[in-house]
Amino acid sequence: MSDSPPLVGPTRRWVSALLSLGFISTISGFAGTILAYLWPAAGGGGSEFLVGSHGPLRAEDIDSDGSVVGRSRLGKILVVRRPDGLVGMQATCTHLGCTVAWNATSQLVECPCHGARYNLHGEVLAGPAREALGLVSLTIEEDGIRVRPPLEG
Amino acid sequence: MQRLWEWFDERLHLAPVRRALLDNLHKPVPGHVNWLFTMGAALILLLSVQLLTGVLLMVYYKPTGREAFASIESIMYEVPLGWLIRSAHNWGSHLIVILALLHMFRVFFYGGFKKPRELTWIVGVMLLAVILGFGFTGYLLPWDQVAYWGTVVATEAPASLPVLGPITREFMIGGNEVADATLGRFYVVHVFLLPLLLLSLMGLHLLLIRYQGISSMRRTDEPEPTPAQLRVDGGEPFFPNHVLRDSATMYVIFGVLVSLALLYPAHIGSPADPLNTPAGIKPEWYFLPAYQLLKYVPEVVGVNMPPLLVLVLVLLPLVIDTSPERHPGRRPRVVAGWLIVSAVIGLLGVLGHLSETSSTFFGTTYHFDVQGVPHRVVDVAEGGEEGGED
Repeated sequence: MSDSPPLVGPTRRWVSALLSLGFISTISGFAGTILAYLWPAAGGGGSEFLVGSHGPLRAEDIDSDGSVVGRSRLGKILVVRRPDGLVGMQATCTHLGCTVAWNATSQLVECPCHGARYNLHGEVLAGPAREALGLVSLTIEEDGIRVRPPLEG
Repeated sequence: MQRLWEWFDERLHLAPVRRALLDNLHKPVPGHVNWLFTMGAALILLLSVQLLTGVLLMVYYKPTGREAFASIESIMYEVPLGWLIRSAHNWGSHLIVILALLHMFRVFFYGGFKKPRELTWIVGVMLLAVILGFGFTGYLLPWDQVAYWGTVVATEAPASLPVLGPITREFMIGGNEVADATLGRFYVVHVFLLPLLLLSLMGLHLLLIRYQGISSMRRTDEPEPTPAQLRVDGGEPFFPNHVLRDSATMYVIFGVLVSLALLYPAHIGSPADPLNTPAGIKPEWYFLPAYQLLKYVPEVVGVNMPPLLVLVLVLLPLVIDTSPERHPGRRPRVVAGWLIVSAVIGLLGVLGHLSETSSTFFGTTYHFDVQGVPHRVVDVAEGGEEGGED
């Protein structure tokens, strides 16, 4: 028979606290693992050149006063052909994420979802959007249309 | 059969359980209970049909961006009676929302949500949220243009909330934009998590209803009527009287569902194209009020409205309508508030439906703009121009 004193008072509380801590750690570990598993992976870079649904887009594919929407490293880009060259801007409406389109009749960039309207500087003219569409810099190269962030100044 | 029962009873002592169940089955329902009280049973039937047709659709559906649309096409045009199964699933989802709303209205007007049945009501509100969750996640699965862009708009809206908004959206759709990862997530939520939640909440809801019984019209500060008092007041036994009524409604609703599926099969649009948003994209009819609201108010307001409404429904029996009266005529303020809010939601839904369409009323054609404002369309042949404002 042991002569050790019975487990009472602070000892019992310590064991209880330790077990609670262990339980909470286990649950947190599970939750953390699940969260990490479900967390979206960082987006892959994408191409510097504009790519449409059926492959790389070329400047000659765009008619006079026409437009195309393609993807690039900078996201979805709308390219409009104007008499003085190509104009490029973000194609994702700043209101709720629909893809905007060039309306040659109204000469405006329009969102088909909630009616936001922008000019070719990306500025909001009407509708629920409050932020402008970002402009991008375009260069026509042999491999297609290269998309870069806008040049400062 | 008797020997089988005795075998089980000998081991599990089921006799008291059986007696309690039989007592519960024959417990009378209050005298005012009528056909309006059968919508819950119809909902059980429809949800069962959804589970069955959903499982059948899972056999052929492929939840990837590359295959989803083609698999739905295959279900519609190649799989024997696949169109019927999908159409029943599609129409079932609409009927469930309609019946759930009617059920909620009935409970509200009869004051059935009041003490001591607040928990049953709150679980019911949670069930409504789950049902809408099914609609939200299931909408994307066909991966056609309407599904894709409807989901883009719906998932973009929460991103406008400060701080947590963008993170929530990214976590919800699994990246920067609606894509394969979104489909996988929505699929798992639609076919596993929500059904699990639905069955649990439905079980709890039914348990509470059977345990507490259907509410009488007595004030909440009066004692609940005993079964004997219910019988004296004209109450009928739950079984067979009310069960027969429930069965009849279930049968009719099932007939409506099958008829709709046969006469108006579900359709499928063109495959999702993330580079091209079609004009006039709209969500399911039950999300139209929220969709239309976003056109009038800043996103941060519009996005918070639906959850705020759910919170109001949860608080209804706890804070908002705590008077002891059940009769709608004796709680006019709350009833008026309910009707006004319902009318506004209905109006937003109608405007959402009409926006960006043209309709003819009494010989005059109107074009409804994005905000739902009508503009008279002047006939070109009469020398005018289209789109002239009224």
